[in-house]
Amino acid sequence: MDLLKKTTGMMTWLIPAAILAGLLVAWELWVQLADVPKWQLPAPSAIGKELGASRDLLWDHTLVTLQEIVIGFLAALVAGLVLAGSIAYSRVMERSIYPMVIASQTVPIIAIAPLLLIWVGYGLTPKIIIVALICFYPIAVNTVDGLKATDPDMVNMLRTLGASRWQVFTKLQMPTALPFMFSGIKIGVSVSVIAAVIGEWVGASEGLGYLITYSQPLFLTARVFAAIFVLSVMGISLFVLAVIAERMMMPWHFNEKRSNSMRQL
Amino acid sequence: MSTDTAVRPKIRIESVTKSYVIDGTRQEVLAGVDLTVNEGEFVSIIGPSGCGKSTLLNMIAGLDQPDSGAIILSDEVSSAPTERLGKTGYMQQKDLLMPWRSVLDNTILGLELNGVPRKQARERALEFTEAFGLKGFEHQYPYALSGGMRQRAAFLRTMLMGQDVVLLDEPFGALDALTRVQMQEWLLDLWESLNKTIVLITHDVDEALLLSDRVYLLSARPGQVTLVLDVPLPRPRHYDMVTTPEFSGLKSKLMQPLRSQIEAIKTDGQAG
Repeated sequence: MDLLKKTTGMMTWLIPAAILAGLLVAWELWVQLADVPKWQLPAPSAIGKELGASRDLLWDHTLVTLQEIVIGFLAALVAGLVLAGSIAYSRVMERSIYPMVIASQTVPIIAIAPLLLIWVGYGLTPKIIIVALICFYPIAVNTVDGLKATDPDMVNMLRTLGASRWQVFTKLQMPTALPFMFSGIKIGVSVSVIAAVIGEWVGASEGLGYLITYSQPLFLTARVFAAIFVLSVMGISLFVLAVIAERMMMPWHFNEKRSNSMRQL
Repeated sequence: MSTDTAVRPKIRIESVTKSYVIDGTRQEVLAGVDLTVNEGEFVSIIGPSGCGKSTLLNMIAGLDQPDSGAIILSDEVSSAPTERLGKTGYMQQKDLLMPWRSVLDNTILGLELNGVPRKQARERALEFTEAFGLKGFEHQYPYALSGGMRQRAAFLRTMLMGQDVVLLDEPFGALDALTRVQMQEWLLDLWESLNKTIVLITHDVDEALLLSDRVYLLSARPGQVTLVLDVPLPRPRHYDMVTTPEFSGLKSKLMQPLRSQIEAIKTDGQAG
């Protein structure tokens, strides 16, 4: 069974890797054989070369975008958790704030981004605000659901042990909400990269999103692809970080899942 | 147990009624229940499903209050439900262990909620893990435990609160037959050394007779006490007693009215 597990483990990595490799080879061959001009669609090999050639440039812009994402996301995390906590704890807050939280997402962020430039200028701040505005929503909504997903029998059990309303919140509601919160964080982290790029498109002088808008009219297509590649790597890395944090904070959650699937075997 | 001193009532339930609105119509769940549990006694309540047994226990624990009548704990006069909260140890059919806490930290939950420092609470719990069959599993998460062990951990959580009165709502109902018998014997041993007042709700006639000093039989909804049966079996008791003629005699006394209750529900169901 160990061998079976190992091979299925390898297969889950091998299959997508093989598909990806196949696609890259097809892309390369098509560009080479059909003689597609480089400014229209560069071959993967050309993009690879570009990554190496302008690595210093890419690195500088990466640091800027990463800074926007990290600060914006942390602000979103704090705001999302505080909002979720107050919405779940107080009826009044739920009635007054929750509709506004939901309404905030119907406002197209791209539309208010130019306004932010007027209000806070062209620096880091408007990008951080955009990242935070986009990321806080999945975190807040998921955490609210999690805080409300408590087992009523568990609440009664705590009450018979003499728990106060606040103790029910900290000892039961908060741990129950953890898996939900991490779902929100994983969604938030995934869209944070998009948010930063949008922020830079509206008006910036640095960052990977700026590099794309700058390189495109010059038909530096390989550089556009290189920037997109770095952005993807950044997004995936942040997601992996979120998963690692999730596993570290909730070892019981994953062990429980594993032992359940073992029982099914 | 309670014979050496004067008999003192621990729980007095006096003509308690309760109704709920179910599907838009008001339904009477309990119709005037009287029940007394004396200090150190083990009392079982048995009855068909939906007869309001759990409602009664919820009210004793202070989670709910009666429409009329009184529930009085110990010698107190007051019977406000909020004052009863936290005064009894209450254990439900589900073990309700928190999956994110280790077994040990689950058992100290009540102490922690009442301000006992964690370290001190853990030390106190560790004194009992052997008697509760949890030794060696203190630092595991609950998912790693068998059903019987989980139930014993929940029981230790209840016991560590140090309440004199312990309410058990079908604590062994979800366990397989063999584990259930083991748990019954274990509870017998434990209770005989703990000197607690216990109220047990059960579906299981054998369980009620084997463990209790007295059994209350509740009728189908609306619940009323239809029979009070003293169980004069000698203590300490063992599971072997289930096959003695004395036990069978008691069992038939209990089974007859219980069966007619079930028949009544059946015909009622056909008519309605």
